[in-house]
Amino acid sequence: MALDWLGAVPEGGPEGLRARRAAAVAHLAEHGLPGRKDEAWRDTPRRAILAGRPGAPRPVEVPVLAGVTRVVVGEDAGGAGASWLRPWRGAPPAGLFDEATPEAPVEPGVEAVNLALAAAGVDVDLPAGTDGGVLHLAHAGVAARHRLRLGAGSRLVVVEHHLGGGGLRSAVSRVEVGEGAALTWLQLVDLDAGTHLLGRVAAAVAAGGRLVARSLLLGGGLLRAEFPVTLAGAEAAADLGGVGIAGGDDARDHLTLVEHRGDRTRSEQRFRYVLDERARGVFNGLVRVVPGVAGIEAHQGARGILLSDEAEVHHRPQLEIRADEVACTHGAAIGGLDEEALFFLRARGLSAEDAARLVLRGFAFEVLDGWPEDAGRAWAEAALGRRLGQGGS
Amino acid sequence: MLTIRNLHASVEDTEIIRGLDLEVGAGEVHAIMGPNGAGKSTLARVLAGHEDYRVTEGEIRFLGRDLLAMNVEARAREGIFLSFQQPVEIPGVNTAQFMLAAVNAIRAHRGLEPLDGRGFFALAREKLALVGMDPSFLKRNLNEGFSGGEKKRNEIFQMAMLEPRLAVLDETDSGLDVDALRVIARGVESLRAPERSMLVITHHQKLLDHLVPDRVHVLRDGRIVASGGPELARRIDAEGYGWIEEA
Amino acid sequence: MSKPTLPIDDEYRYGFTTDVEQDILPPGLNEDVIRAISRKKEEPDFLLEWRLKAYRAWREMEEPHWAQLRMEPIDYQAISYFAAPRRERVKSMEEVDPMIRETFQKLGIPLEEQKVLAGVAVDAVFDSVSVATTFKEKLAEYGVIFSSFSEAAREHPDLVRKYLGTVVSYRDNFFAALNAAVFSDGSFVYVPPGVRCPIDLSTYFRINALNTGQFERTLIIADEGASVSYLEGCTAPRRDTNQLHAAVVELIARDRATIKYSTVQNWYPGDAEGRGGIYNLVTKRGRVGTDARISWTQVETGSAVTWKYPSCILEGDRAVGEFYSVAVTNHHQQADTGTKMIHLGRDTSSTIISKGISAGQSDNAYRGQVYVGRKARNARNYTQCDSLLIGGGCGAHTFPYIDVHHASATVEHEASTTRIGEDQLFYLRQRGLSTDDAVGMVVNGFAHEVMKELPMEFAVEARKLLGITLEGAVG
Repeated sequence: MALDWLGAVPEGGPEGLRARRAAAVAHLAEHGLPGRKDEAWRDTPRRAILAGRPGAPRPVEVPVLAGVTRVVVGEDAGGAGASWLRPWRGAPPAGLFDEATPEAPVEPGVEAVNLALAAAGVDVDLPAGTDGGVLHLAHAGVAARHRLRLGAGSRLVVVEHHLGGGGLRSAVSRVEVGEGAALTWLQLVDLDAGTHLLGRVAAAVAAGGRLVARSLLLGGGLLRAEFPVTLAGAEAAADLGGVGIAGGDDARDHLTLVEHRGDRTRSEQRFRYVLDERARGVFNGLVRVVPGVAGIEAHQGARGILLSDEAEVHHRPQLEIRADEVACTHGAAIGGLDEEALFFLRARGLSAEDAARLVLRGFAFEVLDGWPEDAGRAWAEAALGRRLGQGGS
Repeated sequence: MLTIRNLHASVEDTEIIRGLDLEVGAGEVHAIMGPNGAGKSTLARVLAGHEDYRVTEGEIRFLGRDLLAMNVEARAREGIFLSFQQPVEIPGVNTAQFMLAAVNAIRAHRGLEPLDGRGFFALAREKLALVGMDPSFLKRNLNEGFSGGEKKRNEIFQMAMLEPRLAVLDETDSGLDVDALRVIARGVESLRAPERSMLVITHHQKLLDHLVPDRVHVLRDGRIVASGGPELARRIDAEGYGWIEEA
Repeated sequence: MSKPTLPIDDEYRYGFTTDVEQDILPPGLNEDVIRAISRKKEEPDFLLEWRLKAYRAWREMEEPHWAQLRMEPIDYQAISYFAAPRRERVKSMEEVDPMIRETFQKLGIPLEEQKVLAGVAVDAVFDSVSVATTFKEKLAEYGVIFSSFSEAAREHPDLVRKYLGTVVSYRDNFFAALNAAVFSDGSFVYVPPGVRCPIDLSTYFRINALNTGQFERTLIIADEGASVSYLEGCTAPRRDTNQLHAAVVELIARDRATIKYSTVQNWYPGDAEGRGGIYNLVTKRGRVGTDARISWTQVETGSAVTWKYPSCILEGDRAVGEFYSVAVTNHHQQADTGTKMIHLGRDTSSTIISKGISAGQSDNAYRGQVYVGRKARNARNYTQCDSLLIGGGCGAHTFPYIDVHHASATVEHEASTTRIGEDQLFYLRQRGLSTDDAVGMVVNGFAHEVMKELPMEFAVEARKLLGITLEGAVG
């Protein structure tokens, strides 16, 4: 299978890295991206990627947030003196590519693409009890692979920011949230038209730890964000939220897998989609409760609004439960704009267009709940508003 | 009827009942009062046989038999009835279905023929009247969407249907307005019988105005710290529990 | 001939076998076997040709494997594809083998018409053939055809030819193809235009012989403006080996027609250690015309493995599809069931209510799809699937697929998974109910929304079954 769609695979680096890259490329040459038969890719229009011919990244100006640690991935060493932050380029931190086991099978899909392409990233090792503040990870072109380890009781806010354009983007983050630590992960994807993203944040949360993640899939072609999260220790918690907005032939695709492995672990998921023209929204979510754990609470909800008769939405809110002391719910709702709300607003004097815009805004902005002011919330709001104006009525 | 000696009971390794003694004779009504957290509801659940409550010491004899050797349903069939402080909702099961199954389970234990539908509804209508309930209650799902007062009346209706030997009323008066309280107290009063004893757990004197007890006990820290006649309840109503500690 | 042997205990009370003289084809599957089946049934040529096409298609197909299901491999050459009590094609009830009559008596299905449950016509299928159909004359007055499939193929070949395979093609899936090749009998119903079938129709399926598979095929046609309610019940003897049951049910509700299809499935589930039991791999689907309605109601308590998704293709405008399901699994049973609601016409609507109850080491999954096509303006779906867990060793899974291609659709899906309420059990036991009866009552209440959809004759039996299936689930 031709690999033109993948673009240029970086060369050089340590031997282990080269071996893993070769394995990934071999895998992709043989299997490509997973197809309809793979449950995790059933509704993902991978053709958008496979038909693509990645070009050079468009130079883009990366905005600056006051008082925030910023790394432009692949460009600067950044860190401004933070000892726990080590950006890498060329030679990754040991273990990040599983290079000790070069023969290990390559995980298909996002992981395979990232193994093949990743050429830069950060290695964060936040000591116990440290408040790392806000870390702005700007992705302007280079495929990234990050590792973040949060020590016990530490805190960090990460803004995973994707901007600019030029073919296929990829970012994979391996995250360990230590005991009692708190990580807020804010993914803001606002790429040029025709630029695709295959992203993944794989997190393991230790006892008493907490992960809050928000994923805004706004500009770009096919944007896929995966959030496999393991709640490994007792009372670990995850709160995941996302919104996808698209028009044209674009697609917004979230995959979550929240695995409850500790007692009294809790998870909450809330995803929203606004789709116009021929766009597609996919929510593929799974809550898994393993045998022998107790006191589990999990809630999962997905909602979609279709603005065009040609748009489509695919929701798969799944529960896989093997323990009995659980309270799990999920819900999904798909429809057009809330007619009652529209009527109410028009009765108060708003035009139909303004009413629709306001209803959509309320629907999508709810996901920003939990996005701190000092972590680029204004960017998120502006980008969301801009997309709704465009993709909306 | 009921003899409790040196009862100790725990829930999740926390001891709640700490050496309780009580003797209730046939036909007697005893009131159990006491501040929050004294162990009143725990006592009710221990008597009913709830598996979350572990008896670590002491004994309970009921009609001369070892109550602690019996499981929940065996105690119910022997004649112990617990009126729940918070009656449980069971969606999809109507009150008649439930009551017919319960009545016949207990009748079978007593060696009686099961009631058929006709016999059941005749009996149910008669007993519903005791607590001023309409027969349409029977068609509603058990406690689902019932008001607080309706739930409590439903408990007393069930008590009337099951004809227990010992009824334990766990704060049956809580959350009721004056009228509902009167209806329920009258209903319970009408069920007083020489062979039926009652243990009335309450915070308030009001219920005891309608349902005059033979004995009143004050429970504190898992033990009975004072006992007396109906005047004890009136004094508590007027002065609270503080004076008992001083005494 | 000896007496039927009854099981020693009462865990599965339909587990006895009946000793009747059998006409059994030797195990194995090839074109000669298919020709032999067709010949035994004196089928018209078109049917034999259809079977052979299906067989050839099946040979090219791959057996599906599902990650969630644990199944022993099936040796298709070790199965006997035809077993019949020797005295086939009875003319009247009196000619039915008394042993078989006794079997159905014991199952609570009397074949004598005068004793038939008030107003229900029965077609009893014993292993591969239909042994008796009651109330035939009365139905004929209304023009309703209710017969065994074999008889319909002989006597109404045009109807069979017109509709057979139009809902579930022989290429549909591996088991549907197998069924098309080897199906031995089943029921056939035709209700003419405008006729409201005066009584409920019912088929009782019974697997008796050892090492046979049961492959029945049911075809129900409600012509324009017609309506019919159909009930299906199933049992099988206890066997230590797994037996295959691969049925196909096709429903056709033409414009303004209504079909209500109710199932109480109580095939032998295997023993407490998971030995034996029926593999129940079934394809059920209906086509729903303009202003027509198909309603599936199922109570699934039996089988070692259940794999079935009774579905509706809502192709006419304003077509309505309904799926009401209770699936109970205990011990090592596995149920993977649900529905597909395919909205194609305008203003179509569907309702899915699924209640899963898992106990023991069992697994119970809801798997369903709601599909709204590009032309399905104003489609509506409401789905609710709730799971109840009894004990910590079992699994409850929910796998919904929601695929919407039209902006005017309104699709709502709600689901919950909880364990059985200990406070509820305590309350009921405090009123004197045994633990088993308390569990039965809570579970029946949990399933009430579905149970109330069952016709009265079935509801009583189904209620009891829920309780029996879960006996001992709470220790």
